[in-house]
Amino acid sequence: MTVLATIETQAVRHDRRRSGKVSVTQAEAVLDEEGLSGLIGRIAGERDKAAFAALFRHFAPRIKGFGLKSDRDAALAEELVQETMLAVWRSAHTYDPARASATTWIFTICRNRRIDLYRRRTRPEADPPAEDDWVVGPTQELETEITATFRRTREYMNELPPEQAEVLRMSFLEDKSHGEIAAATGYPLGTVKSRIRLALASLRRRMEQ
Amino acid sequence: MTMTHHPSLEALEEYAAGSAPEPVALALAVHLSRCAACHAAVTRLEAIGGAALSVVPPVEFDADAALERALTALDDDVPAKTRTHGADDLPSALVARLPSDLAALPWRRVARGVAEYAVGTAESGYAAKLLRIQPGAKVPFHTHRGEELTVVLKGGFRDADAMYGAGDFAVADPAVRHSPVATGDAVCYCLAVTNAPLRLLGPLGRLIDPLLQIRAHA
Repeated sequence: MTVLATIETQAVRHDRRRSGKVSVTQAEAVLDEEGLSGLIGRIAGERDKAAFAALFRHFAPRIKGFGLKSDRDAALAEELVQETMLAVWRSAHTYDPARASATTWIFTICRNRRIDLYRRRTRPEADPPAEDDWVVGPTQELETEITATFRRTREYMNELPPEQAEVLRMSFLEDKSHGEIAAATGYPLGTVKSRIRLALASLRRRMEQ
Repeated sequence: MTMTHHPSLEALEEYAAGSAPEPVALALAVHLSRCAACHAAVTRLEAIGGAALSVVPPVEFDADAALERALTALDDDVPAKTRTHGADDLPSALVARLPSDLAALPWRRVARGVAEYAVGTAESGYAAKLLRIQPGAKVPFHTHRGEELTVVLKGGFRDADAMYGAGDFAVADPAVRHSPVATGDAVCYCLAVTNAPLRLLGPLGRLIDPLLQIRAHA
């Protein structure tokens, strides 16, 4: 909270000085999921540039790291940062904290921009099905549950056997299809798929404990 | 309608990760647009991506310059994306990749009552096509050199003892030898995604198969 407060004060100060332009000179902010979610809410509700600046500080170095995972140059990874954060600004109103944690939502945007930028393709995005199967419940409870699920997913991923963690990492971070993972590692395609399946099964088992 | 046929969990994972080749992702998007359970499963799988993003070591970065650039680019005047389903009420991801309604597509006849149209999307050896099967018509007896993902758009078909209706997803591989039949009174439309040509079976198939392969690779 104090870090965030400092950033905001600075952003407001710069905003006044530069008439409409917001800048932040504070070192990177470390925020939890609730804090990040609140920032997205302020971007959606008040078009709050100070909230955007704080969110940018948090995510930009991570998105750049994400962008570099698929062996691309730094300039392209920085484009990915710009495009992702611009898309966050534009679509903040679509963020539903009862469905995804803040970081998960930003991952989905970053993933789609990466397909666009790196592969020059548009992701085939599913329409929301007519009968939504999402759990219905009090929003606050769902939000808490979503955040807890996110934290546990991160924790349990560290506990996966290395060969299962490896395929999940290549799939989510390195933008490799199952076929490309097989080609890169020399594992048969069936082995890649069964390791993915095992990893998902053990994550699910841990979640249900 | 009960959806009895779904993609595998690892196929949903590849879609959630964003790493599925585009034709495969298209077949999944079509199914997910009709299947609430798989759609929710993908939303849950995306938390793995979020967790992965949160543990990526942050990279050294001139964040001040990047932030200045981003703030300059912020705009509010962006038209909202609209999803169009076309006259055929198809998932928007598919409509976006078709030049016209189903009726106006340049269909190519492949057998009695069966026609196909190649969808202009290919990646990593995968290609997508639409199949139009008249009621009661049979897809010629065939097997697969690779993987085939099929999702029903309209109508339905019967394959061995299984029935497939709108939204249903089927996976076939070289172990499958079949001749699906369109059922009911309506024309059956499917999206089929393959990573290798089909292999026709039966006496006629063995005769014309080499010709088809030449065409497929021309």
